Amino acid sequence: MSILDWARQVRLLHPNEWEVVLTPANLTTTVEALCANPRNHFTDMFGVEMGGERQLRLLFALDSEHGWLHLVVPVTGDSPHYTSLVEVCPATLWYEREVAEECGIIPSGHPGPLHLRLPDDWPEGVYPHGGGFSWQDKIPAVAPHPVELASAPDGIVDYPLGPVRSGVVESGHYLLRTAGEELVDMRLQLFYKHRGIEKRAEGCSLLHLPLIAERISGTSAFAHSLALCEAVERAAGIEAPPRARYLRTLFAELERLYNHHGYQADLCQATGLVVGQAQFDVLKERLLRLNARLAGHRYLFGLNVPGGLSRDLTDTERQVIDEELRFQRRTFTVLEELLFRSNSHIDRLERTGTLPPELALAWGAVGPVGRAAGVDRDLRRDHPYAAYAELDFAVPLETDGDALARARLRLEEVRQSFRLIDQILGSLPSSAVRVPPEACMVRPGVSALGWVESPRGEGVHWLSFGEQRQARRYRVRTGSFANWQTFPAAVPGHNILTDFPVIEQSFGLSFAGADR
Amino acid sequence: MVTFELLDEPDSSITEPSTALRRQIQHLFGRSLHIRHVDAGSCNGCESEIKLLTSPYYDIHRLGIFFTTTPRHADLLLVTGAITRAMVDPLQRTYAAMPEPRLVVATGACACDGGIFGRSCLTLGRLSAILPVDTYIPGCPPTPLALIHGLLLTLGRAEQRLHRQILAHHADGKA
Ligand code: SF4
Repeated sequence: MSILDWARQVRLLHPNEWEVVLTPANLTTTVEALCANPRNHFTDMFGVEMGGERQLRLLFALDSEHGWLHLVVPVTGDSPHYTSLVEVCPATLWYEREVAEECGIIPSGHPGPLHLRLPDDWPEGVYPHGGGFSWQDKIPAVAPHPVELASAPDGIVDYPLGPVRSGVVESGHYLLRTAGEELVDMRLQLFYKHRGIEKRAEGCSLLHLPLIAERISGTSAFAHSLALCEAVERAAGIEAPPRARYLRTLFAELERLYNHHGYQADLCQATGLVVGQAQFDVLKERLLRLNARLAGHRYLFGLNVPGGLSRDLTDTERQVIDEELRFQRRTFTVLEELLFRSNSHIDRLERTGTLPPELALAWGAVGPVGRAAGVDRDLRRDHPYAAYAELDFAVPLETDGDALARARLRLEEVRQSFRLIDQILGSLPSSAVRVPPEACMVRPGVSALGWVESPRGEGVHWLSFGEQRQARRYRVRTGSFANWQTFPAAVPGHNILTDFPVIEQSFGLSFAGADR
Repeated sequence: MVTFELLDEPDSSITEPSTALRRQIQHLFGRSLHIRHVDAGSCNGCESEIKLLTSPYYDIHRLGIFFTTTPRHADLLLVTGAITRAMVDPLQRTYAAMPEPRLVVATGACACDGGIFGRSCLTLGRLSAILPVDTYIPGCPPTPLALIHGLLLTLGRAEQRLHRQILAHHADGKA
C-alpha cells in the first residue's frame, strides 16, 4: 500500500492527531515509508486490549505537520504475530519486547529475547495489558527463569554494578565489561523498579489520574501531570483558560530549572568537584522552597488538575518569583564561568561517553540527550502545548554528543528558562485558572494524547476512557525510557572504568520514569 | 470524615528489637550513624530529598550522620519505594549484609504503606511485610527536615510528635 492509499483512510481524532487503521501485513511498508522522511519520528508502540479485542498501536510524531499519527493494527487469535519492525526502525527494539511481554502480541523475527520489564518470578502468559485481571489481584510467583551468565573471554573482566549501588541513587543494574582500564561493552538491566503504573491507572477516575501521573517520576511530576491533564482536556474537547496555560508554562520551566541545577550538582559530584556540587544544590534547594511557597509542595504535586490548576498565583507571589529569579540569574552566571574554568571538571567531560549523532537519531534519542547529539527536536517548539506558541525562546543544539555537550546544553537551557519565566511574569493574562469540573467531562469510549517536553525529554501520554468515564488504558512513554535505549551505545570506545559515573550522570536519566 | 487506619502489624515471623535493646542501640549510635539507602521502587522524589540532606542547607554531617556505600559499614537501612517484586531479594540481601545491631527506617508514603500503589500485582506495598521497621517517616516525599526529625527520633535524640493515643482520641471523638 502506498502512502497515498492510506492517506485517504486517515481519520482526524482531535486537532493535530490522526489515526489510520492497518493490517499486520501492510504495517512494515507503512513504517518504512514514514521513516523515510527525516521529519517523522517513531515515538511509541504499545498494545491495547478492549472488550476482548487486541490492538497493536504505533505513534509517530510528524514534525512538519506539528501533528501525531496513530497506526492502529487490530490483531486476532491466541498468539497474534506481526513482522518485527526492528530492521526498518531500530528504535522499536524495547517497545516490541514490552508489547510481547505485556500484551502477548509477538514480533516474528525479533532479534534477541522478548522478556523486558516484568520481574523474573512473573508467570509466563499472564499479560498485564491483555485483560483478565486487575492491578489489585495477586499474581503468584513462579520459579524464576534461570539466567545464563556468559562468562567473560580471556583478558576481559566483567564488573557487575547494582541493583543496590553506591550512594543515594535509584536501583538499576549494569554489567560493565572491561579490558584492563578500558570499558569495552556494557549490559543494562533496568526495571527493578517496575511498579505497574499503567496497570494501576486502569479504572481510575479523573480525580485520581493526576496523582498517579505525578508519581511516574517525582522530579518531573509537573511535566507528567501536565501531559496527562492535556490529554484529558483534549478528550473532553476543552482548553485550559489562558491564565492556566501561562502558569502551567511557568511551573514547567521552574521544574526544568531545579532539575537542571540538580543535574549539574550530580555531575560535579561525579567529577569530584565538591564546591560546584554544593553551590548547584543551593540553587536547587532555593527553587524547591519557592515551589513550596507557590504551590504548597516542593515538587509541585497536586497543582495540575484536569481543566487547569488547583490554585492561582497572587501578585505578591509574582514578585517573590521575580526576586528569586534575579538571585538565580546572578549566581548562575558566576557558577557557569567557574565551572568552565575548572579544568579538573571539564577534562573529565570532554570526549567522554560520546553518543554518535547518527545512532542518537536512529535509536530515537530525545530531549537534552538527543539535542546534545544533533537531534534538533523540542516538543515545546515543534508541537507547542500550554502557552509555548505565544512565547519567544531558542532551542539550543550541540553536535558533539559527549558528556560536555550534554552538560553545556543544559546550561544553555537554564538561560532559556529564565527568559521564558521573565516573559510569562510580564504578560500573565487575567482569567480563571480552572474550568468548572462539570465542563471537563469526557465522552465514554474516547481517547486522546497529551505530550510535554519534560526536563529529561519528551513524555507522551495516551489515555483511553471506558463506559464509566474511567481510564481504560493509560500509556506513558517517558523521555528516560527512550534515552536508556541509547545509553549503552555511549559506553564503549575511549572510556575507562572510572569514566562510568561521569557518563551515567551526564545522561541524567531517571530509572523511575523508565521503569514506571 | 477522616478515618485513621493503623498499619498492619509486621509478619509474626519478623521479630522487633526489644525496648532495652533499642535503648542500647540508640546509646551506641547516638553520635555516629552510618546509613545505607536502598531504593525499592520509588518515584525518585524521596531520593531527591534524601540527597539534599548532605547539601549546605541541611548538612546532616553536623549531626554525626553519614551515608555509606556499603551495607557492611551501615547501622541503619533507609528504604524508599513501594517494594517492587524485583527489589525484594536485593533488599533482603542488603539487610542481611549489615552488622547487628541494625535499624530500619521506612521512608515516604510508599515504603510506609504503599502510597497510591498499595498492595498490587507488582508491589508489596509496605516495608514491614519483609523487614522489621523501627521508624516510619511519612510524607510524599518527606521533606529534608522531616527526614532529619525521623532519623533523630530513631536515635532517641528527638521526641515523637504524633502518638497512637492521639489517633485513638480522634477516633473516640468521632464515635
Ligand atoms: S513516597 Fe511519594 S515521593 Fe516518595 S517514592 Fe513514593 S510517591 Fe515518590
